Amino acid sequence: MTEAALNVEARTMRVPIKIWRYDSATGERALKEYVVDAPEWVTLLDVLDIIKDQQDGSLSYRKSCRMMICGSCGMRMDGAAVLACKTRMYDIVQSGHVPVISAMGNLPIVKDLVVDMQPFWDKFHAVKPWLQPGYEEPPDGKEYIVSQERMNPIHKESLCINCGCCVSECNAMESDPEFLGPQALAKAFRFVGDPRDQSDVDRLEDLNSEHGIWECTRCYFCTERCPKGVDPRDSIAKLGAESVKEGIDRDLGAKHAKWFVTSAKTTGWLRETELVPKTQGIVSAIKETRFAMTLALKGKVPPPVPPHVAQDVEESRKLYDLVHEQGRDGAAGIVQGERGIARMEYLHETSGEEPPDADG
Amino acid sequence: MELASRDVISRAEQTEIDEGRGVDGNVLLDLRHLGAEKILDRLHGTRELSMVFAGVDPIREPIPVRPGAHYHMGGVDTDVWGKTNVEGLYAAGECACVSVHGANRLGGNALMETITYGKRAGRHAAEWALANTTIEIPESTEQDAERDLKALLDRSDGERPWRIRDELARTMHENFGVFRREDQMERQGEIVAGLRERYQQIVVEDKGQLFNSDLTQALELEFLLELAECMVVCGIARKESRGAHARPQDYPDRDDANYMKHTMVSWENGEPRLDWKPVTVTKWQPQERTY
Repeated sequence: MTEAALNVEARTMRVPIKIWRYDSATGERALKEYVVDAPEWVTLLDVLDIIKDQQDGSLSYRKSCRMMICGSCGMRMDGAAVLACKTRMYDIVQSGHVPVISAMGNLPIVKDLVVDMQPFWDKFHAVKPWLQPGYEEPPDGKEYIVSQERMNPIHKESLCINCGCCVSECNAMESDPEFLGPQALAKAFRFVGDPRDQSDVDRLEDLNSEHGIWECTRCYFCTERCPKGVDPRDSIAKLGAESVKEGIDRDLGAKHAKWFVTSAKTTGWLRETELVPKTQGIVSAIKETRFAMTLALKGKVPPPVPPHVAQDVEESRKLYDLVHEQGRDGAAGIVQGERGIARMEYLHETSGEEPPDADG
Repeated sequence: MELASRDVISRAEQTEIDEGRGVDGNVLLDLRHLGAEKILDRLHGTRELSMVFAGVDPIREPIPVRPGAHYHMGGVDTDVWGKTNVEGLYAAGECACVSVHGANRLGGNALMETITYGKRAGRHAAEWALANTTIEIPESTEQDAERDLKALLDRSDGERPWRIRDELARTMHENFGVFRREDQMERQGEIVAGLRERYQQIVVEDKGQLFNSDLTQALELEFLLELAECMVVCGIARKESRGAHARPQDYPDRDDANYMKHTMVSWENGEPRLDWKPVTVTKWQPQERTY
């Protein structure tokens, strides 16, 4: 029920908004402006509802729960993906800005703000988003217990509501529409990181194929626009780390990442001149020789021989061994979590004040 | 009290609001004693909802809350495999009623429907689909549906459905909400009948074939109106208080002798037909609820 239906008195405001209308049957496209009077507490979704009810019944968009859990109302506001139900309008109206609403990117538009989610679901399905425990169900009346601590590493991935906001913003998918994309890969890590799942290596093999994890350009747009704090780029980084740890390193991306580690371990710094042969192979490297020579002559890179060894290289080696001993050379080495983010958000919002302790 | 079942909490909240101790039509839910750590850890979703919709951080301020329609104990009658009385039609989740929750679903028990009965219904439906090809639908049923749809789309003048929907929501909340009184329920029956009358003249603006949510929302409104009428008829007939059905003024107590039975309602010839089904008690004997 809407608050309007409850007759709760609220101050109203005038909300101007522009919407890109589109009809895939006729190919007609038009930017239309609407102005509605709405209570100050409205979200973008409420505004769309008012337009559809009272001004133009033909406006199409998806919606269901209205509370950030169903993932239906992903769309773009001023070119960036948002959940309509999560976007409060008050500050935007106060600023005088007239937002432009359009359908999500990287997916074909059906009508107005409705996109065809089929390519999204195909990729979602491709990562086998179900548990493959590899053990039998326990005998009657028994259950297996998994601790909260062991489930924590995939907590934020479990928050994904399949809204498509990350996919909408993905730059890699714009150049390679076949790229599995941030949502499917975050979901993949939700299972690779699940202590109960026994198919990690098979999953990683699949994810290392063409259009897999190494296609990501690390633009962080998915992380920036995710309305639930899933941070898909972090999940992709963890899948990469797990792949290398499992010895799945046939991709250039994996070789590139591995060389950074080897280089830091052996000389304590990044040997850029060896990066190309180590990543792309010797033939590619020879083709780049002239370019490398020019760089060296201009002093942009140091000459490859003799390799410069950092004075405190032992420190770097110790660090490597420590991480290895602790078993943190895979996903566990990437420290980023929901709690950390929530705490940072809190500090940010309260301008540095620490959260109050329990019991006041 | 905070951990009591939803109907108990709802009545407590509504009583506070009705008796003038509310704050802007709400009561305040204070979580601050839990501390930031626990709220961030365990109540992340609750905090997110509070911050987005109420502009309140529960670490620092109490959350304004009030009763709302969260879940309906009833639904499409199914057996324990999700089967309905229509051959080949299965129901699971919020739309279904396996009747495991009785007169009030306890917090956290949605999982029983999604995980347990979702799996059972899905598996059974798949088996049914593999074993059967088509089912016969009487031609007249299809023709009737097409005729109604065409009539709705052909109408170019009339009332837009939203006002009917909003009035239905508001009046159901007022007259068929947390507390129920005979006269209010009777009155609500008349209101719903009036709204159904108005519904006959609604107009759908979108005449297209493509993602026509103007049409689907109009059709849903018809179902909402029919369901509301069913609920009112059933509510009046159940002369006791049980779970979320609270009649403190005329029937404040649970009456197992007369009403420990399921309310069944079907839509026949344009009106609800009321029926009852016995409750089978096995291992767990019904007891009085105390806190």
